[in-house]
Amino acid sequence: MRITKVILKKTAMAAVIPTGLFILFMFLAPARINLSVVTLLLQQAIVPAIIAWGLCFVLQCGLWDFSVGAVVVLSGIIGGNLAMMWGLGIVGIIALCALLGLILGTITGTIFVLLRIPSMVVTVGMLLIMESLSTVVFQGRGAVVPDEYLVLGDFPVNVIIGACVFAFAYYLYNFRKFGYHVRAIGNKPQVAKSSGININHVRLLCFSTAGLFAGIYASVTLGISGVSNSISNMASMGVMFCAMICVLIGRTIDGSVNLIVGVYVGSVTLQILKLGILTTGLPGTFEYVIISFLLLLFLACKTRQDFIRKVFSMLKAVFARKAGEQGR
Amino acid sequence: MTLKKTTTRLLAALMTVIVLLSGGIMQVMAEDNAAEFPPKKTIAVIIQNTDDAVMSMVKKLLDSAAEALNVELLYKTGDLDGGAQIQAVENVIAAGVDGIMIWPLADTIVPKIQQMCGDAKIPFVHMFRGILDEDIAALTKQNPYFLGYTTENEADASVKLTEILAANGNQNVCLVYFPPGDSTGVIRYNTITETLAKEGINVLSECVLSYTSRPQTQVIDATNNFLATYPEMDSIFLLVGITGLLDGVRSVVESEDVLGKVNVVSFDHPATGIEEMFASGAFIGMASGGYVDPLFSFIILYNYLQGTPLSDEPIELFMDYVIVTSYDEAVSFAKYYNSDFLVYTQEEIKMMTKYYNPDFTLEDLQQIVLDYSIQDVISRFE
Amino acid sequence: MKQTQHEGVANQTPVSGFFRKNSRYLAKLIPFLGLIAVFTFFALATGGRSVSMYNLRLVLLQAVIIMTGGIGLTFVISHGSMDLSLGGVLSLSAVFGALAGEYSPALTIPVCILTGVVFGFLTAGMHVLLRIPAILISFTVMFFGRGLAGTIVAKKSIRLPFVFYSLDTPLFYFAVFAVLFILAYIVFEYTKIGKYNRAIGSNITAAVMSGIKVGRYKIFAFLISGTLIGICGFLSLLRTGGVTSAASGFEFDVMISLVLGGISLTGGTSVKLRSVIIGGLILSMMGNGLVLLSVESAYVQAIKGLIFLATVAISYQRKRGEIIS
Repeated sequence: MRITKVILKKTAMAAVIPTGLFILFMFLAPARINLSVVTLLLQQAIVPAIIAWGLCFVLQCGLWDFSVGAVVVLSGIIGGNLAMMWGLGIVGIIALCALLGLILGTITGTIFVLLRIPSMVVTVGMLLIMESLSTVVFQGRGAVVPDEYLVLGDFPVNVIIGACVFAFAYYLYNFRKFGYHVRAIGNKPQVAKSSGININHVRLLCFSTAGLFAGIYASVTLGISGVSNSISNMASMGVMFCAMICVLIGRTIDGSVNLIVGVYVGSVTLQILKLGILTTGLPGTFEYVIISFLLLLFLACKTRQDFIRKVFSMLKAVFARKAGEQGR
Repeated sequence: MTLKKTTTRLLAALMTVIVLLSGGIMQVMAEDNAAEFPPKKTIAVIIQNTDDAVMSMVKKLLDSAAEALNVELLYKTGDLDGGAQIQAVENVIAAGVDGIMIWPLADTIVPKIQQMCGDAKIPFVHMFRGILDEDIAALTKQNPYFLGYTTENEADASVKLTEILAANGNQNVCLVYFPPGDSTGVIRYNTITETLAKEGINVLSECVLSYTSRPQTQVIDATNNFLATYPEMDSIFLLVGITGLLDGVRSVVESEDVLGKVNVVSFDHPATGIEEMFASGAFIGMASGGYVDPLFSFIILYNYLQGTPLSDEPIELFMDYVIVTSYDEAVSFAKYYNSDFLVYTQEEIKMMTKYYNPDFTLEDLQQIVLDYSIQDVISRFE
Repeated sequence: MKQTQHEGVANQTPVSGFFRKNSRYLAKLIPFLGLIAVFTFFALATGGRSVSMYNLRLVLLQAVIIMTGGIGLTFVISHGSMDLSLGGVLSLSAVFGALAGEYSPALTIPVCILTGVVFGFLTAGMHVLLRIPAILISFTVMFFGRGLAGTIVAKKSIRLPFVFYSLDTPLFYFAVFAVLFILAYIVFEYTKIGKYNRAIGSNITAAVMSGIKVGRYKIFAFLISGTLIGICGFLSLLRTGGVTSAASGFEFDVMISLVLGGISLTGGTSVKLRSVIIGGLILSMMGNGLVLLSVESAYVQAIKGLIFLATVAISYQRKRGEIIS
């Protein structure tokens, strides 16, 4: 009974942000947004969550990875083209893209560890280099895969892949020493170092993990559209931004809900936003305005939880007093 | 302190020597160049990219023309905002090009471009874009170094694609496009929305894509959202066709539970996969084939650079899109509009120049542009 | 047997001794040497074309907006923060300034600057009051600015009021930058704003202990950065005649230019405004020179990335035992 109560409470906490947003859009566009779209939203949220799960290891470790979007593009292009050349099947394309993502992430992590310079600098530099490579490899044509690979984007394949990646991320974050070390370093790096954790090793693994998940994401998105284009002018940063938002929303509710679950909740929230923006007639360019605004709000709420608690207890006291007066 | 003084003096001396030396080298080069036969022409091509399926065909065609006519092309890509494009023009002028072909991002930067080219006495042409703003057009046409532009009959193609939807009985459409910041986007959007209204087709929703994120994933999400929130939708109109966009839509509309319910019309898609798209029945119309546009601008510029301009006034060329409406037409399109085939041979390109064909006139070029169609291509190659 | 310091000194060669004695000064020389190296390389590789008067003037002109943004970012970096919102705020400043200019051209410049100040204040306020890392807020503001500017530009043609067209001369840009740089130099070197920001960057604990109101001076730094970005917005509007799309990558170009100029990303007393000019010129020369050499744009970005990594790797001041994030 108690466990059920706890689970219900956690589910409620997890659902409060997306549900609130969904109700708002139902109110704004009642003819278009109703409960029938919920399954679509839950399904749509799976693929973006894949890259966010990878990025959360890096962010939790107190680092930045601006290059994760470029890893997606480059691993998709190289992996897609090699898979076609070698006649690999669907599993092959996923494995190849994942491996390439892992390699690219490891290279980034190695450069970070060896050069001992800020992660922001390393990943911006790697972003510039990888985006350039994407316009050079395979004559800059990107990758185009035949129709038989498009099943990766269909139900239930996408759900199965998402579930597997979720399970792996959950296991890695919560049940392995690696996840524990990531959290320790993210909290207090000096203390973590003093307690014997090999900081450099863990941080390198964080970049490798982010790269691995980015590679898997690349293979799935390649399977959805059939195409992976080259990219330039730091356009891949948008991928990182959306993934980062999912993680930050997850962090906002991680007091009540496990972060890996929270990241998925963040992804659902983003999909609700995108749907809402579309149905209320706002242009797609406005999406980032609203997302950025909400993110700043979440950050403010997260960092000043003490202030918010104070406001809530004041309001509680006011209502209690009024109820008491009415009672008399 | 001693080291500081010494190094400061050394640096100053070094800088002086380098400047003098470089000035000397430049002087020698100028003298050497003056003694040679007039050098081959160098033309800067300022274009968004040369990598995707359509732009790589543009590059291939221009490279073929340049090879035939002894021209060196200097490609400048990746300038996606006004400041970057202006910087690109400045730098290619500094690089000493003889002429500039540019795909301007918007009319607002054209006054600056025409001023820079005028000051530097470098002739320039537009490709893919006319000038919609009347004041800017009037100002630019006064500049003797503005040779003109080639652009597409956007309004005509927009009407034709909309009429295809109407003829097919589609009633409810969703639009997908990038923010229409330039003349092409504005003409397409305005003409399409007007014609849809005239044909009685409802615009249910519009997805405005953002450049900040991958367009393929945006359009797939948008298509799924359209299907979920607008069950009455029976068509999608893509106002842009960068690689991956149509494939993204296709992956959704050709899926088992959607096939047959939603039709698609689009601009600008390359040949890859087009037969399969029309075979499924979901795709009913496409306007594409505009990749030859830069070639005509190149011809205008090249003739001028050779001292035999085709006209004393700016030349305005409007070419038609190739409209594909059926599987058979898609097969022909795929045959002639792929990356291995060039719709004009080097010999044909040479004949578009007064250098090789002294009788060639502006009217001849206008006729070539007017004749341009898939039937024209087939007749020349079969 | 353990060597004494005296024996260690005695074992030095004249060359190693020279470098050890002057290592700090030599480290400061690296950006200058970098500037000379880039200048020389392109001068020779382009056969002197890069050092023609026309091209040198062009390089300076193309560097002005980056350098103006760099002045503001230097103030922010000096106290150990980072501001990634420059491009987004620049676009918004230009858009709002141009829109205001449609009502009255006199409003253009004030609105550009006000927009920059407002966003500088927003970033600073959230950083100081809500204790959110500045890099995170500014990264978010970057997307906010880009999104809003992109939305407005898509709906409306954004043009510079015609009355300003006559200002679009190299002399104007150089004069504006010169005035701003001199003012910034005075503030940075001789006022509390500059000194305290560098003190905060050197050691925030010591700064707090010595009574410096850290939050206040950080806000000043962001306000200066915001003001200068507002001015950049106007200069950008002047240069292009309008706004075509949201500027992308501007903040990273400014950051890269400062790094090339030898700035310390950790902030502190070693931060110098000269990094703005040296780095701005290096970046501008590179961008210009690579076009003169007909290097493909794809490679230009990669070269930028490699040089950025290499420069930071060489010049970053690492403290023993420090955990770098």
